[in-house]
This record gives sequence, structure tokens and C-alpha cells, in this order.
Amino acid sequence: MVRPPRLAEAILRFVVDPEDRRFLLSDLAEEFENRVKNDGPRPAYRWYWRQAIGSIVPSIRRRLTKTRRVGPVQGYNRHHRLPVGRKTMDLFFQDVRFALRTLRRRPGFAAVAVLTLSLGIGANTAVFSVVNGVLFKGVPELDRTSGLVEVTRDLDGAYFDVSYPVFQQLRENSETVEDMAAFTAAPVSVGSGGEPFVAMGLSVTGNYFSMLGLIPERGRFFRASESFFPNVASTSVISTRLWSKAFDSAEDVIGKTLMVNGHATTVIAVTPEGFHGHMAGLQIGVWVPVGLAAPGMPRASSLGDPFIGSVEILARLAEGRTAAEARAELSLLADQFMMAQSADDFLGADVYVVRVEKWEPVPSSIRTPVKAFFAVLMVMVGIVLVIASTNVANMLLSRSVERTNEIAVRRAIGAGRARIVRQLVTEALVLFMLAGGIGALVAGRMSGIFMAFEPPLPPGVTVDLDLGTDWRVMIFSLSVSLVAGLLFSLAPALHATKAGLMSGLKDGGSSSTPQRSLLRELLVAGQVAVTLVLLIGAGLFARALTSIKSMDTGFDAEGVHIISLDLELGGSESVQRGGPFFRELSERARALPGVESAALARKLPFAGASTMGDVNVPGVPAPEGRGGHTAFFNTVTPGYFVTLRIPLITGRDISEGDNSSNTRVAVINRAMAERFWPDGDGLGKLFYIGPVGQERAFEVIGVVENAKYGRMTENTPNFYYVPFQQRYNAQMSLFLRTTGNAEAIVEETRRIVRDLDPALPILDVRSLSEATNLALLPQRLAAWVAGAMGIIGLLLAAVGVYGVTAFAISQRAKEIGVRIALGATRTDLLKLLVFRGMAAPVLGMVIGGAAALAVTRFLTMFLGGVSPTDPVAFLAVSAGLLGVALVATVIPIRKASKLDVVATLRSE
Amino acid sequence: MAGKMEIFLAEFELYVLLALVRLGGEAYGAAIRREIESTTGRSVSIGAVYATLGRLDDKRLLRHRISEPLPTRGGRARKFYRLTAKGERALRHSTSMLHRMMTGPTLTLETEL
Repeated sequence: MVRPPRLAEAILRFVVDPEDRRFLLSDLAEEFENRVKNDGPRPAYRWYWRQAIGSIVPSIRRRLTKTRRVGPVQGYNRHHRLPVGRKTMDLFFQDVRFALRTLRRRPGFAAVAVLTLSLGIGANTAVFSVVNGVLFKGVPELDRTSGLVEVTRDLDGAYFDVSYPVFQQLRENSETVEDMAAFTAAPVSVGSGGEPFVAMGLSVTGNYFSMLGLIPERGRFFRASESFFPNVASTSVISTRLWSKAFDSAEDVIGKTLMVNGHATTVIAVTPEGFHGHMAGLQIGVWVPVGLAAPGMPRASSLGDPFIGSVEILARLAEGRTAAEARAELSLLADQFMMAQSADDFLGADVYVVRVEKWEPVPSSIRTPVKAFFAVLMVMVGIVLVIASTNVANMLLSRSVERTNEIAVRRAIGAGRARIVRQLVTEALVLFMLAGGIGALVAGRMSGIFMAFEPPLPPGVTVDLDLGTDWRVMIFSLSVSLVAGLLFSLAPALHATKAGLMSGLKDGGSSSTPQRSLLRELLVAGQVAVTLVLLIGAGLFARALTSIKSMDTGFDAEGVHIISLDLELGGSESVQRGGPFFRELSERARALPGVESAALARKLPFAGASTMGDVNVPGVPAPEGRGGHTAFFNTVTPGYFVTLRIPLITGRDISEGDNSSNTRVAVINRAMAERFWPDGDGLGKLFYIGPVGQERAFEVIGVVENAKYGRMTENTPNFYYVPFQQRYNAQMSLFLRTTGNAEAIVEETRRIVRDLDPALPILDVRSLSEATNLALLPQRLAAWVAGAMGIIGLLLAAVGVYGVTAFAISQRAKEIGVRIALGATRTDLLKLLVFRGMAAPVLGMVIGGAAALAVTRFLTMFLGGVSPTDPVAFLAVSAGLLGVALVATVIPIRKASKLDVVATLRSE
Repeated sequence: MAGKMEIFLAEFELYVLLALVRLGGEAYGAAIRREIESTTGRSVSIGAVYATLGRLDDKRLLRHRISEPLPTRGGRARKFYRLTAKGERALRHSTSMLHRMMTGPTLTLETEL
């Protein structure tokens, strides 16, 4: 016997008018049974759900607009005895109806409250939809609870790729891990006859899909025999999106040819709709076997080399094993394996430590900062909501004072306190829920603004996040509204019903006793306190941004444009022309009118740094437990320092003469020179890379000034530049310093590229300032968002202080009138009232300042050197807030001191 | 309330009353829902039907009675609705107005299409 869906039934039971509930459900059940018989259970289920969902709105509307029946109605009484729970629901709807009527009578109050709240709830929902898009929605197909882990190499706490031989070793010998798949991501140019375009590619081992538990939309995934290096077949798997873009969703796509970086592959499968790889934001379009002999993919030579980290690893833990166990075992296996290798390569012989972390859509290497940033954002918007809710709580308090009479009458005719509290809370909840709905709608639009910020990414990499509103966002918004509503309406409601019955009836709510405003004052103090915390946070972010902006990058970005190329994207013919192509390109670019200088470099500033391994210099001992000193390098051509205006301190620049037939040479930065050769300049000296016995020597030919390489806030690392002639790379960027019309020159250079190699796509064109500004983006974003929230918070708090002071004054109107009548001057009054009015804000500032001192240290990682207790930020912000509070207090007081004494006194 | 004023029926109310007439002047929710759905071809939710029936009941255009549980498993009770004299008047009034509106000159516009 098939039962109707229980959840749908429950929903109906909740929304439908109790008078009809039983009949409606039995009607539906009857038809459901017929449909099961005729169409089968699935269509019947779907039908039932459609009925239930379609019934929600009409049923609720009916209950909210239902008019009271007068007198008994035939056939009604017999069935009227309802269970207690349903009676509660009925009362709730009755309260909601009453609340709606009450609010309709005070549209101004309702509008201001809802507007204030929807600002707070909207901001929360917007930030949550970003968090949701990144952390939760990122990869919907995968189950996070199933022991999926990421395996990376831990080198000094930094994250590094693992070499393929190590991967194989671990996969074959591990007992803690059931299976492991290797992968590596790179942008690729793909085409199927038409214009080729760039998509993200993922090279994977054959078990990648089976380990993630995926079933292809069509076709079949890789077989082990064709996708475990060195057994590689020219095959590819494409995403549903790429299927539509490259093949127009053709039915017969399986077996078709897809060009990947100019290399022909056979499409064997399409991934399920909605699956775009296992990393949030990174939309993978095409998967190929690791080791595919296409340009731009990890090469056989590097995959075979145990010293070159070339892959990342996803693994599934064996039944009952933990990540810690896997970490211990894998580290041991890797270390043993590496010890057994005859080290004839660049990399140092460090202890091999493996890191095993639970898989999440955000890769483990960037997870901590991403989550910390989200946490800070959520706290900040949370504070904004608290401020907004406090304002509304204050408004509710004022309202309840005005309604003292009404409440007293209701109690006098027999309403219990609980009944009235529940009614007042329901009224507030209606406000909060309305605001929640509006907030969610507004947030949906606001997420678009978040997406307008393009994160700083290497050329060719694109990020695509789905920030749309889904059920999580809806539930979040709903529960935030509900919780805030309950929290901030309970106190005013309890307060309102506390007053003695007699006084409420007698006074009619026109007077107020001193202790009555205590709750209100406390609310304001609390509001000012959290506002100060929020503003200090925003102030610190702003300080961090200005301090980083004022830092010297060490190069002059103005007037430099960069054209990034990857010969491997042009196919094998482009690759073969390699060196000569780049030489000709830079020579012809240099000859263009308006070009002051031009040079090539492997890495853009702030686009990550590469290392060949630890550096050793005889006589300079390595740090404890290390095989050498950490150092990074860039590959450049002659003229690089001139183009970027990095001053050459001593020695010479790299020249065309430094080619592969000569000794290896390097230009080093000042930090490296000072560290290794504190007595001299190091010119002509040698440094070594690689383990003892197999090291390679580099001769220092010049020393240049320090610059920023990876981040604005880095401690200057050891850095050296090696000649392109001695270390060829297919991925290079052309740096052009221009004096004339930059756009025309860039266009001209594009033409030269096309002329030299028509098949080669240009990866990226940007100005160096743009690239540098991108490095500031995290700080900019943080300062911008924090600043925006700070301003919203400040405005709301100002309104709060104003409102409370104004209300207090209106309650004391009689007293003020008397004082004026007795001859108090305006100055006396101002002084008295301002001191009185500022008490709560000042108390709040003290609490807020102390709280800020305690919590801002959690921001340290975002502040780039600015102290989390930076006195400038603390003092400036406090002074500013004090000023705003003062203005918000004085305005209503000034108004009051001008009031018409006679009228006020007469009204009493 | 305004007892003398003629009651205007909303479109869906009209459907519900007409369905009731088509079903012989007395029917229960599910039958009315099916009748409207099969005649108009537009999908109708049971909640909307009951909400409308309730509203019409409030306006005294309908009257309901609750049937004895059917002698089947689960013994379901049904709520049968029947047009009142007031309901019949309202329906007649609405349909005749509709008819008059439709036979006016605007109809020629439709035939030209």
C-alpha cells in the first residue's frame, strides 16, 4: 500500500484551515490512491506534491482573511473539538491576523521597522549566499561524509604538489587509503572544428571519476588501461556545458574528436549535468588522462621524475581509518621512497611530510584564509543586524508604552500575561518575517555586486560561482529573521506587560517612571558597543589598505603592459620554434616606435613564485632541520630590470651571451646578497641548488634592489633571476614599457604575434598596474565591504541613539516645561539633558572599546602588518562615533528646549 | 452586511459554483477539483478549491453537510457542499452578466482575428 508523501501531508496539515483539514486530506488521499492504481506511484507522488505546494498560498490566505462566524453553524459543532496543538496553530493565525491589522493602522511605524530590518537581514543573506556559493553549493554531486581526503606535501607549512612517482608509490602500498587519484589543473585551448576557446582542463588518473562516485551522463569514463601514466590514450571527458558549447549538445558526441591544445582526443564521456570538477568556483570543462602527450600538459619527463611535484591527490580513506593514520603512513612511505632515490636533480633532500585533510569544495591550501574571511564577514553583518534589531526593539518598546492602556484593558478583561506576550511577539515576528522576505529578495540582487569583483587569478583561469538563492539561503534568511525576531521582541514584550494593571489603566500611558527607560538605555549602550566593535574592525581594514598601498613594490608599474603567451597552446609546431620565436618577438616589439624597452619573464609579479629547491652557500649554515635556504626565482631576458625600473646595485644585467653553453649565471636581490655575503657584494661568488654531491652551481653576476614578489606583505625572500637562454620555458610574458599610445602599441604587438605564429592564441593582455592592483584586491575588498557595513551600522546606531533620546525627552516634556517655567536657561537644560542622554552611549563606548581590544586580534591575518590594536584606528573611530552619538543626542534636545512651554503644561 | 447589493463572483468562485451545478448541485472537494481541471484544462490545487468553498460558505452562497464515514477501509468522511438559494441567485446573476458582456459588439473583434 503506497502512502501519500508524509512531508507533503504535514505541510498541508500545517497550513490548511482546521475546519477543512480532515476532508481535504482524505479527498487528496482518495485521488492519490486512484492515481497510484492508474499511473503508478511515482507520478502519483509528484502529483501529490504539486497539489500540496499549490495549496500553500491559497490556504494561508484563506486563514488570514477568514471572517469570524457568528453563532453555531449546522454540521459544524460535532467536529469542532480540535486537539490542543491545532488550537495553538489557530491562535497563532488569529494573532497574525490581529498583528496585520495593528500594523496596518500604523503604516509609518511598520515601514520604518521593516526597512531597517530588511537592510540588516538583506546584508546577512547576501553574505551568506556568497558563503553558500563557495562552501556549500560548490560541488553538489559529491558526498562530503564518505572519507574523501586531499593529500598534499607539507613543506615548511606551505602546500606543495606531489611527484607522480611518489603518488604511484603511495597508491600501491598504502593500507590506510582505499584508492587515490592524481590530478592537475591547467587552462587549455579546446576546439572541435570551430574557433578554439579557452577552458579549464583537468588531467586525471583513470580512477578519478569512480572515486568520486560519478556516473557519466553518456559514454563511459576512463579505463585503467588508458589513463594511468605511462599508459595513456588520447581520450577526453567533457562537461555538459562544454558539450553544449563545443558540440552544440549533439547526440552523437561520443567518439567525436576534440582538439586539446592542438592535440586530437576522442570524446568518451559527458559528465553529469552540474558537475564541473571537485573544486568550488573552478569550472572544469574537459578531463584528459594525466600524461596525455598534448602541449601544456604535465610532460612525461616531469611525471617520471620523483623530485618534481606535478600532481595533486584526492584519496578515499579505507573503512575505519582516520586522516591522522593515513598521514602517518603516507609520510613514512613517501619518505622511505625518496630516500631510496638517487638524487640527481635540483630538489633538496628534506624529510617528506604528507598532509591529509578532509576534502571540501575549497582546496585545502586556501581553505583557512577563505573560511576566516567568511567568518569575519558573517560576524560583521551579524553586528549590523544586531544594530538594526536593537533599533526595532526600541521602537517596539516605545510602541508598547503608547499601548499601555490597551494592554491594561486586555488584561483587565481576562487575558493572561503569557497570552499578551505571545501576541506582542507575534506582532514583532510579522515585522521580522516581512523584512526577511524583502531582505532575501534584495540579497538576490546584491550577490551580483559581489560577483563583479574579479579575483586575482593567473591568466587563463576563470572562476564561476553560483551565488543564486537556493533552499539553504532561504532557510538561513528565514531562521535569521525568526531568531532575531524572537530575541529582540521578547524583552520589549515582557517589559510592556510588567506594569501594574491599575497604573496602566489610570495613566493611560502618558507618563513614564524612571526605571522604565532602563531597558531602553541598556539597549542603546549595547548598540553603541557593537557599533564600535564593527567600526574599529572597518577602521583596521582601512588602515591595512592604506599601509599596503603606501608600500613600495620595488618596481615601477606605470606605463608597462604585459602580453602573456603559452607556446604550448599553439600546438607542437609552435613549441618547436620556442627560443627563436621569443627572441624575434622581443626584438620586433622593441623596434616599435613608442616602445622604450621590452623583455620577457616567466612570472608576473604577485602571480605566485617558483622555486628550484633550497639554496646553499659554503660557510652559511642552513636553518635547523633544513637542507638549505628557501629561495625563489624568475626566468627573464636581458632588459627586464630596465623595463621594470628595478635598480641594478652592482654587477651587470643578464645578456644575450649568457646561453646554455656557458656557466649558469644569476642576478640576485639585495636581501639574498646581504644574507649570504654580508661582507661583500657577492659578485662572482657561487651558490648551489640541490643535495650535496649533485648540486648545481650558479654564479652571481649582479645584484638588484629588493622588490615584492608574491604578496605586498611578504618578508623579502631570497630571490634570483636566471637567463631565459639557460632555462627555456614555453610560457612567457612580454613586458613592454611604452611612452606613446599604449593601446596602439599593444595592438601592433598582437599583430606581430599573429604574424610570427598564426595558430598561437594570446593568453592575456593587461597593464602591470592592473596586475599589481589585483594583488591589493583582497585588502581592497575587505576594506570596501567592512567600510560599507561600518557606514550602515553607524547610520543605524545614530538613528537608535536619536530615537531613544527623542523618546526620553518626549516623556520628560512636562518636567522640561516646568524647569523652563521656573527660569532654567536653555544652556542649563542642554547641559542637563546632554549629560543624561550621553550616559548610555558613553557606557556603550567603554564596553565596545574593551570588547574590540579583545577580539580584533582575530583579524591579524588580514591586516598585513598593521597592529590589531592600532591606536590610530581605535582613537579615530572612537572619536568619530562619540561625535555622531553626541549629534544624535543634541538634535532632539535642542528641539525640546525650543518647545512651547505653555502648550506643554496645558496638555497635562 | 450589504444584503441588497448583488454579489460579484470572482472568476475562480464562478468556476467552483459552476462545477457544483455540473455535478448535480451537490459535491465534495475532490470531485469539484477534478471537474474544473478536466473541463478547463487548467491545473487546480485542492487548497485553492477548499479556500474558495470556505469563502463561499462564509458568504452563505453554499451550505455544507458532513457525510457519514464511507463503509470503506479508513472510513473517510466527506464534506458535501450544496448551493443555497442565495448562491443560485448569485450564479445566475453573474453568468447572465457575463453572457451580456460577451454578446456585445466586442465579440466581433474576436472573430476578425
